[in-house]
Amino acid sequence: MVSGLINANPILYEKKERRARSAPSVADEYAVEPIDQQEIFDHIRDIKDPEHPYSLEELKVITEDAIEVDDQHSYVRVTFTPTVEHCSMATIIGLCLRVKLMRSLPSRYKVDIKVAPGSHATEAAVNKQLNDKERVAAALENPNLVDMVDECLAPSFN
Amino acid sequence: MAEQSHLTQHIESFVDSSRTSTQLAASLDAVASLVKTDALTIESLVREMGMYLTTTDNIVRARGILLLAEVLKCIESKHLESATIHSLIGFFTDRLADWKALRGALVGCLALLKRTSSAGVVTGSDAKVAAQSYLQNLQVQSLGQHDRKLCFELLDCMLERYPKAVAELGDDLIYGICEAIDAEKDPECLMLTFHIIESLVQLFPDPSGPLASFAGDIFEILGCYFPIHFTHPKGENVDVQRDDLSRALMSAFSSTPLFEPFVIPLLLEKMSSSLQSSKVDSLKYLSNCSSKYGGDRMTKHARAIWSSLKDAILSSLQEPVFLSSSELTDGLDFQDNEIVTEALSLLEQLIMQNNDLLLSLIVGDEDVNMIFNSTTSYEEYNDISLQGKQKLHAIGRLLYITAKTSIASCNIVFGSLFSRLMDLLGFSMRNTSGDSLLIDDYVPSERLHFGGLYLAIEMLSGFRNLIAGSENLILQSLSEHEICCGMLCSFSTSLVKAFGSILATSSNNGPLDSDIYIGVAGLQIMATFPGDDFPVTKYIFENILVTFMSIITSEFNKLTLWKLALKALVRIGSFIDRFHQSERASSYCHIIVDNLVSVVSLDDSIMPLLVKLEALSAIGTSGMNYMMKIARGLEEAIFSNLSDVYVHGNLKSVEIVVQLLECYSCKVLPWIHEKGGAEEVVMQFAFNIWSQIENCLDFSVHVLEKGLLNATMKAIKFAVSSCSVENQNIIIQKAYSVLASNTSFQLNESMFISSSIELEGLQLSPKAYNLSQRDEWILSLFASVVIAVYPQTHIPNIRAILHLFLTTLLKGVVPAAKALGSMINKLVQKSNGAEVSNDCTLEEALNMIFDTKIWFDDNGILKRCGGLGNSSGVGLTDLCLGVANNRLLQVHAISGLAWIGKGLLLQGHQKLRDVTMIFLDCITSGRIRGALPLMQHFNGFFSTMVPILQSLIVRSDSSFSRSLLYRAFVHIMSETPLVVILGDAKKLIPILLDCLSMLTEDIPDRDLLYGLLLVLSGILTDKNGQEAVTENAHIIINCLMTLIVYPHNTLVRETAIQCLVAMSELPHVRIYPMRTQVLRAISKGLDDSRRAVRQEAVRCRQAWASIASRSLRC
Amino acid sequence: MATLEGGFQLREVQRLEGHTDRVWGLAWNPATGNAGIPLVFASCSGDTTVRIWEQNLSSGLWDCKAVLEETHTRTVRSCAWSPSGKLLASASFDATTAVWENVGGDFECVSTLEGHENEVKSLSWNASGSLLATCGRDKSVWIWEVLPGNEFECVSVLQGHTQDVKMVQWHPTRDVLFSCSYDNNIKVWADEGDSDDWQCVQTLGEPNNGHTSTVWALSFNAKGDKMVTSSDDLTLKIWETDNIRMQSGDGTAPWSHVSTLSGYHDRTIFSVHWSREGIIASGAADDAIRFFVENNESSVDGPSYKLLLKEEKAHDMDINSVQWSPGEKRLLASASDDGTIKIWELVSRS
Repeated sequence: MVSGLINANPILYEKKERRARSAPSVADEYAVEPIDQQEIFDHIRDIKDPEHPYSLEELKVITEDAIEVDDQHSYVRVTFTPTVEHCSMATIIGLCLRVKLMRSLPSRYKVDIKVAPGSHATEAAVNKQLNDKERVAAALENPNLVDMVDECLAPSFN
Repeated sequence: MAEQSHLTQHIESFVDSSRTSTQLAASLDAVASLVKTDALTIESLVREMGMYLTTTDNIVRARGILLLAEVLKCIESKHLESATIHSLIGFFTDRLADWKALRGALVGCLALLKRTSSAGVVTGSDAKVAAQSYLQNLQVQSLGQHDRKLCFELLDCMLERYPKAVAELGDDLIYGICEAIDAEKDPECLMLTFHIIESLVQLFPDPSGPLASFAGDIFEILGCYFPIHFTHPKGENVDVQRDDLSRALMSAFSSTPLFEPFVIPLLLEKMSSSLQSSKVDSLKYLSNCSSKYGGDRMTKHARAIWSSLKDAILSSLQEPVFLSSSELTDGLDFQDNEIVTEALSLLEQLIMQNNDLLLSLIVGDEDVNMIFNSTTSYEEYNDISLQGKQKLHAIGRLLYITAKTSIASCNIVFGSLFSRLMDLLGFSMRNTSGDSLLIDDYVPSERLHFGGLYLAIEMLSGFRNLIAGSENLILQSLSEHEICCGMLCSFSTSLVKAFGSILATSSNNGPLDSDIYIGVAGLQIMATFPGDDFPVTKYIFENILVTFMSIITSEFNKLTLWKLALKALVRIGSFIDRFHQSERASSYCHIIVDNLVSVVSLDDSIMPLLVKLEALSAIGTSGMNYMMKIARGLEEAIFSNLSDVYVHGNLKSVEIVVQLLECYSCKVLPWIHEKGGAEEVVMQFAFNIWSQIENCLDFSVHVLEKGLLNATMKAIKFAVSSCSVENQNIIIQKAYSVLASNTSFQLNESMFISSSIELEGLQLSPKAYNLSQRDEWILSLFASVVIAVYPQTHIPNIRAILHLFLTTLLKGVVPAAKALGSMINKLVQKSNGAEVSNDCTLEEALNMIFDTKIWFDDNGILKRCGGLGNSSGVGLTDLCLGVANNRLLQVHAISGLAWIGKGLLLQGHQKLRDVTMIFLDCITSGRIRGALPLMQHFNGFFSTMVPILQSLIVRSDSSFSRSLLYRAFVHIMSETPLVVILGDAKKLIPILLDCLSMLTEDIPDRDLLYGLLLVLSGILTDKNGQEAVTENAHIIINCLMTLIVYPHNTLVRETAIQCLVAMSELPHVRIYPMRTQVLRAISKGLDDSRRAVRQEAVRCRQAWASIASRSLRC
Repeated sequence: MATLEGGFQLREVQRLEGHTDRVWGLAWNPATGNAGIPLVFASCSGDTTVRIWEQNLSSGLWDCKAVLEETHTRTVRSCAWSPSGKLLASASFDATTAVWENVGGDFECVSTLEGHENEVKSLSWNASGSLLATCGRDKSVWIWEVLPGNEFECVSVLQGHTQDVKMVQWHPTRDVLFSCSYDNNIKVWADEGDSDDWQCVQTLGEPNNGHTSTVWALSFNAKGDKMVTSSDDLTLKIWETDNIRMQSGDGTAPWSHVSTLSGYHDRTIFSVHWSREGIIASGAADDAIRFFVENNESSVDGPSYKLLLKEEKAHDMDINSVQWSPGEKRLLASASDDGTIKIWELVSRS
């Protein structure tokens, strides 16, 4: 784990401040708040990068605009941008994203995780793996991987 | 000898690397205590340990040396012979070379060097040798974090304790330190290294000394940490925070002027960084360093610093925000961001070091001059371009600071810039006596230039704060000859005129916020220069007041203008107060306060009363004596209107007096009470209310409508409650006499002298059974007095009063019921020791209340009341149970009972039990649901209630009465403090769960349900609660799972899920069996219609999923 | 196929709960469902267990007869009955294949086949029950010979796929093995001249109108001259071979692409199964079950296929497996990520 001090300022981006939502008035107790872009973003913004002590948001690996959601048809698509072209961690990050959404969204949801076009050397390969649920399932039975994922997810559950 | 063997055991166990840390600690303690208790001398310990300290087995040797070192650490305060110390330090000094046993060596040296003189210390020469060995043998950066930390602590200690000795090492020392700290990364170590640098440079103050040549190298190491960028993983609890590091680094930077040539350029460079934090740090560091390095060294950087701090401000200031919150701040101060604040304080710091160069830079600055030249080109604020506005704002701030810092700087600003500004604005010098203002020929040439006035205000407020800030010290020495004063005197007339005219113009064609703001702010600043007649003349001051006053009285339909003017007046008032300006105070009084008061009393239709009152109460807050005047004014108005009501039944006056009373009791009284020391007025007020009633014997009853009554009661309550016992006694006596003599109630004292047995005699005249409005009026007022007094206050003829209240509450006079409750409450407090001043005891009072017989005719109309014994009447209790088939009577009786119960609550008097039983009967008899909400009064004696309820619930056969009992239970529960509930949580939880499931059936119960759920969550989240919970884990979880989908209240679902999260903390053996069920249930929560619920569900799902590592889904 | 004309509808017979994690696979016991033997099938799941379900002849509904646990330590990906219905084999992510014997209703694990480096994903018995094939993430396909006494001997390890192998399936009548893979290819393996010398005799990939993404499943028609494959590229593909040449004993008769059923599925098609009477059922990640039949209107370019019926939201989540039952009724079982199994009957609407 990286610890201590980095003197060269790494490329950090200001966190988007959490937009407060206007709570629906008591009047409409039965009002429905559909799952939207921001809600999905809030689920994944705090996921920690496997290598750095920063959140995926801080590293601009994910942004709110890179999320497509259609609550009516229970579909989410997250496009993420690895920090470097050959980021060995791309699949882990993708895995984290998938797991976090798996644990946070209603079971009716279909989730696609994709690397942003041109952002990774082996784009196609990464995408294919991340969306092969058999491989994901197998990965999630591997204790080491699970520990790694859980560590990255930990901050995102608070 | 026994010890010997023990000793060897302990040593053996300590060097045995297989032992647990606790075992090691134990053996260390054992050895240490042997030494402490002199059972073993340190010398003999060393002898005993001989081979452990010297063996070639690295591990054993390391452990051995560490043991000896740790022992020394434990006995640092024990006296040791200098010889012993000498040999010990010698030993450890050598060991510094033994890198396999380094830990011990470091600990040992540290322990010895830290010793205090009383316990015997290491000699300077030994310390020097130690330092040498340190420098020769240690490759600090090749060690692990813990050892590095020790090394630095040791170094730090040497520099602190033995400066002379180590200083002799000269260049070696400096070089060695550089090597040791180079590229350190661990925060804790860095805290030390920064401090080491600090102490190091103290050793070689001489600018031509050894440090001089190394300063560059040292700073090379130091500089790369700036700005501190902390990337410690979150969650890992680090006790060193970014700010600590930054502060430590800063004091290292500023520790010696020798760094100046390296520091300042670096900081200036980093100021251009895009990161806000590094900008801010650079500014902080700059002002810290410049204060340490001194003016002379900074002079050569003045130009660079000025331009970059100017840029910082220019780039980070937005356009000025006018009236964003319609909040008129003192002067033109806006919420600046951190950069600006730091930049300005740096500027102040530099000017403070009277850096003439800097001042000349400011005055000659191109941006400044650009702004000045452009001021004439715009009239209105809105004409100015955005950049223009930002520049204006920034330059304004800069000039404000410059003017505010010192007389010298102020003079320069005024001498050059201010005077120039006056010309630009077309003001001409005029003689300082402002009387020319009357026949003033000066009319603002054309529409005034906004920018110019804006800057003028900034400079003026700077000047004002300069003198106002400095507790008159400057003011004394201030004379005409100071340029700034001269300027102010010469132009004050024109300025005031100008500001005034802006407000005037703005009032014709729709006022621009910016204009209003600048006009008001300008006048306010001019009016808030200390000194009665200098530098701003009394005449001008009064003129300003007049201007404002006319706005208050005639411009109230221009809300912004009016509000700001009022605020300004309040500020001026409190400013006068703060600076004890006697003359100005009197002007203020008669121009503002007196006028306003008179305006209130005179009944003109121009200015709405509410507006008058708002102004009045606001002005009052600027000083006690003003408020006093106002209070008296209000009183007069109140009483004159009241008499209008009483005597002529003038309905119009009713509205007026209600408003007056509102203002008096909600604004005036609280303020006075908070400031304290004006009780007389308050007391008088209460007293007068009564005398007035007394004086108009038969006031017309028909107009006594509730609004007025409530307002009056409120006022009286507040007045009385803020009086002392003595005054309360006076008031209540007065009130009583009015009650006794002016109503049809017969409160014949004689009846009550002897014991209550003779109550038989009491009667109320039949007429009294249908209360006259007048009587009810007086009674209610009296009740509010009784409620307001202290327990110690004497209530005259208390039995009669009790009785009166009892009777009248049956007639539905709610204040009477409340008063009765409050009397009981006070008696309880007394019976618990508070000093007694009434001869009536609590028991007596209660008997009277519950044994008094009441008669009513067949229509349930109350006929007669009073008497004890077995006469044919019924008691309060029977009424509650509805013996008189008179619904109304029953409700009155019950609410009365409720208030009495509330009164008893405080101490949980045993009588409560009876009261409760009556209630429960009412409930189970199901005849009166209205009583339910009153149950919440009874949470106080919860512990009495619960068993009763439980038994009743078990016994109750009809589901209807059971549900009523449940509801009663819920009402109590939800009002009971958690601590009480936690007391017997075990017992409560099952019934609590029954209630929950019962409440889920009826939509109307959803809020009740929520309240109860909160109780449960309270229990769950409390440590003590959890044991109780564990037993019932299974049923609780089942219940909560059903609530996850409760459709009628989002909060219920949310809370239920939070409770489930809490449950996941329980021992896993208990809850694991439920895991799969819970996860399945919670998945519904993930798809809830409400976001809040979904978020909780995610947390909950995670909490339960992670009980076992496997199965991440399902 | 006259019987297939006219409308059909799908009737949900039963919804079976019990697994505590997603259900991956299903297998009907081929020796049941006729001669009064109640229908039996096995299901396997991410909860590391295999469950045996048996139909109650009176109620017509299924009950869980046995839970096979504490043998596999990770997900059981698939299972298959030997033709005799005596043995059940299960393939698990724990890198082992377990073989269970049915001894009067209760099952005991009679042997565990180890060899694959990691996850075993699929297995298949040949027609005679003398051979068992397994495949997995290690890109290899293993062929085991069944020896007396429940002994299994690896006779060949087939390398050739460049990525993990998703499924293996023996030809219904001949000892020719088919495998499909994450590398988008389908490979045909045959034993050249009875010397346990297994070779890849054909690779059906993109060049021969093959799939453009992972191939998840394959299934044969009753005659064995047609094969259907399902893929992540959202298509089903029909392949056929020259039956005459095959009958003539030439195992290497090549397979060729007949038609592609595209535009029907919205997400990955995990499972496809061809019924005896020629109805193709598919189960996909879009939670739907679809049925296709050959289109009678003879068209110029070979046979075409049409959608017979689509059951939306057949399950709450992905459908991992669809399997036609033996016996005369048109019964279909489906397994899903929602942890349930459903039994359906395809009935004509008349």
